[in-house]
Amino acid sequence: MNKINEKFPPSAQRKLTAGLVGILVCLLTILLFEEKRGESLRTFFLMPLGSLQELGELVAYATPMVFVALATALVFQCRRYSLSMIGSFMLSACLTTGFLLLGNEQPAWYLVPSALVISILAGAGAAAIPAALSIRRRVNITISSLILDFLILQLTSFILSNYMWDPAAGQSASFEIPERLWLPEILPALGLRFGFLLAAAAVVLLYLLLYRGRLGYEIRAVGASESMAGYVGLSYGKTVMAVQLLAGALAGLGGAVEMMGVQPRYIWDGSFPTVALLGILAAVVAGYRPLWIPLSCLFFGYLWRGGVLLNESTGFPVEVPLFAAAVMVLLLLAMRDLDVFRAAAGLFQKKQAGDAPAQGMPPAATQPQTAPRRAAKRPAKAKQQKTDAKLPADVPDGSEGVEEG
Amino acid sequence: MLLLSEMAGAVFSNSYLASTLQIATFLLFTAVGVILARRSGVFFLAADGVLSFSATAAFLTDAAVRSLVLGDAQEGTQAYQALVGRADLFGWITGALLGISVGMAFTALLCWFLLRAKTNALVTSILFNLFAMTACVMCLHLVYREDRLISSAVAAAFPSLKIESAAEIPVLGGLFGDTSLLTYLAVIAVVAAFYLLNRTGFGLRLRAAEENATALISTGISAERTRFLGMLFAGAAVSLGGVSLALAGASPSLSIQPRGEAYLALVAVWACDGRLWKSSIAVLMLSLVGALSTIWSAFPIPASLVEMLLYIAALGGLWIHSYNLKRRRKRRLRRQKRIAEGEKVPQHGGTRRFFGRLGKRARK
Repeated sequence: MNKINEKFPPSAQRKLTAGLVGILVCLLTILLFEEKRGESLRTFFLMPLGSLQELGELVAYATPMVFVALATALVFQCRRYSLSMIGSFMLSACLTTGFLLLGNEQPAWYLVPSALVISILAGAGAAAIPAALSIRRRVNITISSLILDFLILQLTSFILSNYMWDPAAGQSASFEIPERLWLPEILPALGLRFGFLLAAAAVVLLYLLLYRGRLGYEIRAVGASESMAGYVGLSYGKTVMAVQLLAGALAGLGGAVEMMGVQPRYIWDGSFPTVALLGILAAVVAGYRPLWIPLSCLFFGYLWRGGVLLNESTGFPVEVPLFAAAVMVLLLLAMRDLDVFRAAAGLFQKKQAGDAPAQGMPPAATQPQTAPRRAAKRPAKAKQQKTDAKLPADVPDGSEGVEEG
Repeated sequence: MLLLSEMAGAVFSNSYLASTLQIATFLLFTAVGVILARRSGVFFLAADGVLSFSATAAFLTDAAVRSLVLGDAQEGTQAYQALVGRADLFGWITGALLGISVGMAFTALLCWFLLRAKTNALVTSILFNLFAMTACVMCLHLVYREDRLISSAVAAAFPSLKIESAAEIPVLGGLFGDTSLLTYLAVIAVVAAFYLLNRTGFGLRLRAAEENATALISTGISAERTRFLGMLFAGAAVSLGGVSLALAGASPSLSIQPRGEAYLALVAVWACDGRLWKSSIAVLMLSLVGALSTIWSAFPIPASLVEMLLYIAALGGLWIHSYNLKRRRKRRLRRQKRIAEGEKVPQHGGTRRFFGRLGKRARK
């Protein structure tokens, strides 16, 4: 068991288990609520991997998600739990669409880079408001950023329905951005666009920034302890502002990448974009580590692409992947300190022990077998935790008696 | 200009106060829940999830039970007339009960995460909200596959108290004319929460669990269990908010668009430092702004812009509160400085000093 744990650490075991449960949730939902089961399962699970083109589509779906996940990772590593990346994503996607549609006659070499710049500015601007309120006025950043998200949701709905709405689109969606204004293609076989390169660069840069750079160290120090960071001379306000602006810019860039190549119409009228929500979940799954984020985003992108394909063919609710992802991440939190393989093996052993009395062996005999093994795994820490846990109960203040009474 | 005067006229109509009350009902319940949770030492960000879960459960159960009792009876027939009263009664009773129990179960699950597994409170709450949002929308889409607006479901409304004579009063008629029983219950809930927190032993223990858990444990009471019980009360209050979100009003309906109702209640509570009466007033003020979108829906102004006013008001409330905080901090610093310099300072400042003077005058 220890060998397995060395090669395949418990955190990876937990993530694998959670991923399997996520797939299981999708599977069960489809099996329970869909009539054409075989065909639906094939559409959901196999079609996203069916051809090279579909694979490229999957990667394209995951690309904007990577930006939001990176923004989330950055903010959550600093432990200022703001959710302004949703607002940044929406605002920049909306403004980019508006800008590209308005300046349709201009040449592409001028429009595309300016759209990217506008998206970055819009994203950073949306993130700056709750950050400034938090730093200057000590307003709770989580609440203010959430309220700002809803404000931006209404604002973008207003812009969409009054200036960009395409009556011919059927549902509430903007006019389509013409293909010449999309980001340039880099791998025509897969249909991958320049956004993919941007995402890859962002992952590497953020890794370098967080783990190899001075600012990253400051960010993690402020996240670990704000007062400690203050004592060693770090500016709390500057660091938090830098983090929020950077995160907003990243999420905003994600919005532009989404609009210029993945989803050419702005469609989020009155509801939050699934990409942004999945991006937050992906960051939590990856443990806020930039290098693992593309993997978790690819997994969620796979589920989401399956959900979209199923929705297109049978009208099955498109929220299934998001639901599965939420269940998966909650499970991951619930299994915080669980050693999955060991727990599974323990369950198996207990079962055997339960069978044992029939063969004439006392069930208590298994207890000493498991105890030293547990101690061998985490020798010092486990013992200390045990004594810590026992401390309050050992205090002779009669608390136990009162509680039971 | 004409439009402006008409819009101002709409504000002074009966329906404005009526729709204000409708919004205030669920906001008040949620605010009470958030305050109880704050007293249990939990930042109840997941109230939004509880609210949407209980609202969806109440609405779906109500509609299902109602259609079950009505059976095949067509509207307008005699059989329908005979059954509809009983169907409505069963509908709202089961809807409310299931809504509350689902909300409380969800809160208990959250408590397991926060109090037992001790996961990060904010991340867990955010995840819970995402989970609740997607689960509810998925549930509704699964139940009504083709119906995007969930319009075919008909749920029975919570009964309301109709006072004919009060309805004829010009502006204030909206307050008492046709008000849902849930609104009266919300007012009672505020008083009940005050009584629970400040006049009972459990309230004392709960406040101790938040402010000084060590002292509580040293008296032999489990802080965790006290917090859990407090959270259950909070969950029940927020679930009642969910029930009133879905079932209050003449024709119950459920919107699948997120509007962040619980976050508004959180803002009201946080902008008032968790004070019960102040938060209730803040909630009423927020619902005065929120009701504008209902009464101005007939005018040719974009609905989203009017909806935005509500969130702007909420952000503004937080901002104003931050100035109050700063002033209070400055006043405290000044007082400490005077004490350090050896001056004599009064024991209490502000309102208490004022009322103290009044008391002295009365004694004389």
